[in-house]
Amino acid sequence: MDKVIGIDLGTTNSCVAVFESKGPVVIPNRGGYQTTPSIVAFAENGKRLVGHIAKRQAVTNATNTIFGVKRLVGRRFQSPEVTKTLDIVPYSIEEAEDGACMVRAGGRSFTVQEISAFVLMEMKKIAEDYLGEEVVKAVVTVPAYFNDNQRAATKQAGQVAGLDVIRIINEPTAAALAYGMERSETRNLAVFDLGGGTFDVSALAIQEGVFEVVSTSGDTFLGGTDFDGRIIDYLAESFLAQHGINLREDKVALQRLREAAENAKCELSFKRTVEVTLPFIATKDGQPIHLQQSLSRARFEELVGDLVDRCIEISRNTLESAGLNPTDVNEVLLVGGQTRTPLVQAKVEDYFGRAVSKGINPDEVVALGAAFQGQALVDEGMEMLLLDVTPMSLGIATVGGGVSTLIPKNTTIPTQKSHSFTTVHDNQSAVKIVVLQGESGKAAENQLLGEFLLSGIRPAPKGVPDIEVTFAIDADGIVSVKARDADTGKEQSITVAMSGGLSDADLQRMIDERVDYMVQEKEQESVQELVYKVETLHQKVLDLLPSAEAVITGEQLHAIMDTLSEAKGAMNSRDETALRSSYSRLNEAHGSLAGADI
Amino acid sequence: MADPRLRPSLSPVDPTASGDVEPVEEYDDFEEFELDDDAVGVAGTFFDDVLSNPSMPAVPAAIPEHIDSRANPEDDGIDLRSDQRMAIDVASDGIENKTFYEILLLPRSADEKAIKRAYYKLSKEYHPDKFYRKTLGPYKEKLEVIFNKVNEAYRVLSDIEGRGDYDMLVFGKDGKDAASPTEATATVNFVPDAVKKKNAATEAKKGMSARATAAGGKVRKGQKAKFLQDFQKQLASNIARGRKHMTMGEGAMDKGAFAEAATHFQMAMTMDPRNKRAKIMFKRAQATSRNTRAEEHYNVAQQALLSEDMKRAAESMQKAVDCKPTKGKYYNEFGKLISEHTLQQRVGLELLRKAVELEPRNVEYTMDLAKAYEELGMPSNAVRAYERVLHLDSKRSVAAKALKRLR
Repeated sequence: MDKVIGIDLGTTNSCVAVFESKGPVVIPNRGGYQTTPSIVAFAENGKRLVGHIAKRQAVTNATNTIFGVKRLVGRRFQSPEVTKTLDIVPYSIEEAEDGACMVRAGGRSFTVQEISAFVLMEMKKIAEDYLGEEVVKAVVTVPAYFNDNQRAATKQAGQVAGLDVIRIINEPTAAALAYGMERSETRNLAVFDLGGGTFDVSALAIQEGVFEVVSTSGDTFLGGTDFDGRIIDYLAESFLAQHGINLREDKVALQRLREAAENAKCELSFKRTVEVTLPFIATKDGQPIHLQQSLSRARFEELVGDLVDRCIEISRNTLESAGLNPTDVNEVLLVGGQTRTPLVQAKVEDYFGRAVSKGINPDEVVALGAAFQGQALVDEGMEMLLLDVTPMSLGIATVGGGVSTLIPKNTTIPTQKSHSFTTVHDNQSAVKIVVLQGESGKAAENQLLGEFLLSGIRPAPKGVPDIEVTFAIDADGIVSVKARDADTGKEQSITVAMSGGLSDADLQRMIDERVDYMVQEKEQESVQELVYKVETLHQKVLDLLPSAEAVITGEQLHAIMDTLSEAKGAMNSRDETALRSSYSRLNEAHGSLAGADI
Repeated sequence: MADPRLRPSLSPVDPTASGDVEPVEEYDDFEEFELDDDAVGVAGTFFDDVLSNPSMPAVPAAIPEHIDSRANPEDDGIDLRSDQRMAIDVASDGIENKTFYEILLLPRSADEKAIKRAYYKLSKEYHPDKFYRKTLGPYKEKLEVIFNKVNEAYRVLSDIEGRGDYDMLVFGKDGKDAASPTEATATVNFVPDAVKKKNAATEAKKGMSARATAAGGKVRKGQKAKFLQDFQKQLASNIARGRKHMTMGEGAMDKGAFAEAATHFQMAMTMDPRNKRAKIMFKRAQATSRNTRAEEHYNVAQQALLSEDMKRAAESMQKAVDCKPTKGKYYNEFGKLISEHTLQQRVGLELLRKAVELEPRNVEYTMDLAKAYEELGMPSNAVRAYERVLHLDSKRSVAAKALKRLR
């Protein structure tokens, strides 16, 4: 059976796990860390860096270091969320032709899917190094409140990374899987998942291996990054008031500020107060200025109180639509690094009226659950079934800007719903259908998934054609549409252009580029090896030369000296052919010298 | 033992089925033949059982292969066993016309817990994940339809308000089970009943649409209202389909295609679970089908024996035994085959013993068993068996001689 890995593709950190005989385990990266920063950077020599190595050089290479790209996945450049992001990241975000986001780094533009793919490739590599075999199949997690565009984009990122994403599952659900497998009794579980960039809350009923998600909700733009943002603003504002300099305008200073804010936040989870010190953060009149500011936990809680309240409010709505009272919940599971903040824990415990469960590391539980689900899909013997739901209502725009809901939110997936369409004019040959996702009654206030044209309708008086359009949401939460002429039974060919999705051609180009990059990297590796070999041999010849000089002819010596300088040139040029010929000539020289010496 | 299929005593046999009475003719013993519930599965008695016992498994674990009349269904490249195919066929057939209770295989009185349990159970059977990346052919769509319907049924019935509305719509205000297609077929006042129901439902629909508007026009309410509109159509269709299957089943019986007939009668039962005639006919067709098939396998085995194809003979004999595990003849012949042609004397002995157990008054079978005991060096057992032979037929000199020898 093929190994399936579970990948938690996080906003700030990613984690990979695999199912082993006793259950899922987290795979540490080469540095020994259980999680890997979701950061991609491009060094000056064009080399791509991912993970800790990218994070370490972020301050010195701020504009070419891309982080938090998950907040852009599947979003339009013009959306308010992206506008908000523009101000706080040092790298630049551009608008693609189709309205999606592109990020610029290393002298070129990348789609968001590509950047995510680089992180996924790193996670794949971590797993392969650990398992000692190629890994292709993966279950990738997304926030429960991700819409169709965001899910589809994540799946495409997996494709670009060379992964067969056998399932996209929701993060809180994954956490519940990892947490609930060991227990058998029937219970209601609430998962409160506050990660780096997103917030989800899900209510589940668990019984005899069946995990039924009853209700889910969230905010894909609410997470630890926003907590950091509040600290950054606080520090920057007081620095502005003190020195008249806005640190947010200086990309390097902003990056340092961001790191300091994150550290301060983490320390405040177990300290009452922290000192933030950033020497040489700016210059004024040629004089260096340092940032020195203390931040108390009380002050921090004041800064972020409304963010936590929003999470609680969303939790309240979720339980209500599940028909549950807080007291009906048997267990509350905290997921995501941001739930380490004492204020978050306190407010959650207050709302649910019970202590939260902290059994599993909140950074790892999602990847573990994903590995579980992967195993359950490929292993028929596993008695586990996940009944997940669609987080948003799916509908179509109606005349006058309204919405007609086809699949209400919290419907168990996979699901499908058929709807009949007809024409409003005689001999009308096409009908345009606008697909939306969201809860608002107004079309404009929902997420636009795409528009498609039902074309090739046979000529008939208005109202006569009966075209049955089936909207399906698969187990990944991804929407598809197919149409059938109910009279003739003929399948209609329709084109559904989802915004922000990659075309097949684009996808293929990215996959080719990945392969090229890997080949290139391999070549570079082998050239580097060759250089080492030449270098070693070069040294050996040099070592032998003084003692051998007496016994060889002048001609021979000349030839050897030529070989040596040639090898030096080959090492500098890194030209493979030159390196190879130098190596064989060095070998000859080494042989003759060694022979002569005896 | 090399082949686990050659293990004797394959299924528990009801002693009342044959008792001490020897079945005289091969084909007409279906009336006495009591089907065990496991074998009847979804079709047989499930509806009655479910009605009286909500904790009964919602769907049979496996439908016996015998029901499937198609030849080698596994050859079409679809990754499903024939029992899985049958289960899917039965569950999806006419699903559009079933009530939510029928879909969840629940009685009207089912409580919240039972509904949830039924939903989980059916999900475990029909969720597409349970068939992940399998080649399903036409079954893919069937599974999607089943799971979709199961979900819809659960969603409505697990919501107290939704269930109340639904019950009123489908079963009328008095809550009496007017939805049973059987009652509708059986009674002459089908039309007045339907009219009554329609009126009640129209009223209900009015109330619902008012509420639906108040609730912001939720889709679910609309769906339930639509259910009513389709209701007359559903009833008629249910009945028509059930009848069609009955006719086809009877036709198949006439042609001697008993397996096919059994499938039709089963369908008829599914369409109309209280159609007693369908149930009886199903049992009869199935029993006959088994008899016929057993005899066919037996004949194949005999021919294989003549051509000395021992492997094939053993396989066919095994099939005959599987088809008709209440018949001593097959066990006896199988036992002799094994004893004479293999080294698995013990297995042969077990089979011979089984034959005697099933038909204790058969002298030949008892004689064969006695010989086998003697050959295997089990004299006290052999003595008892020879004694039994003499008791059944005092003129058996072979048995008397053997007894003398052994004593």
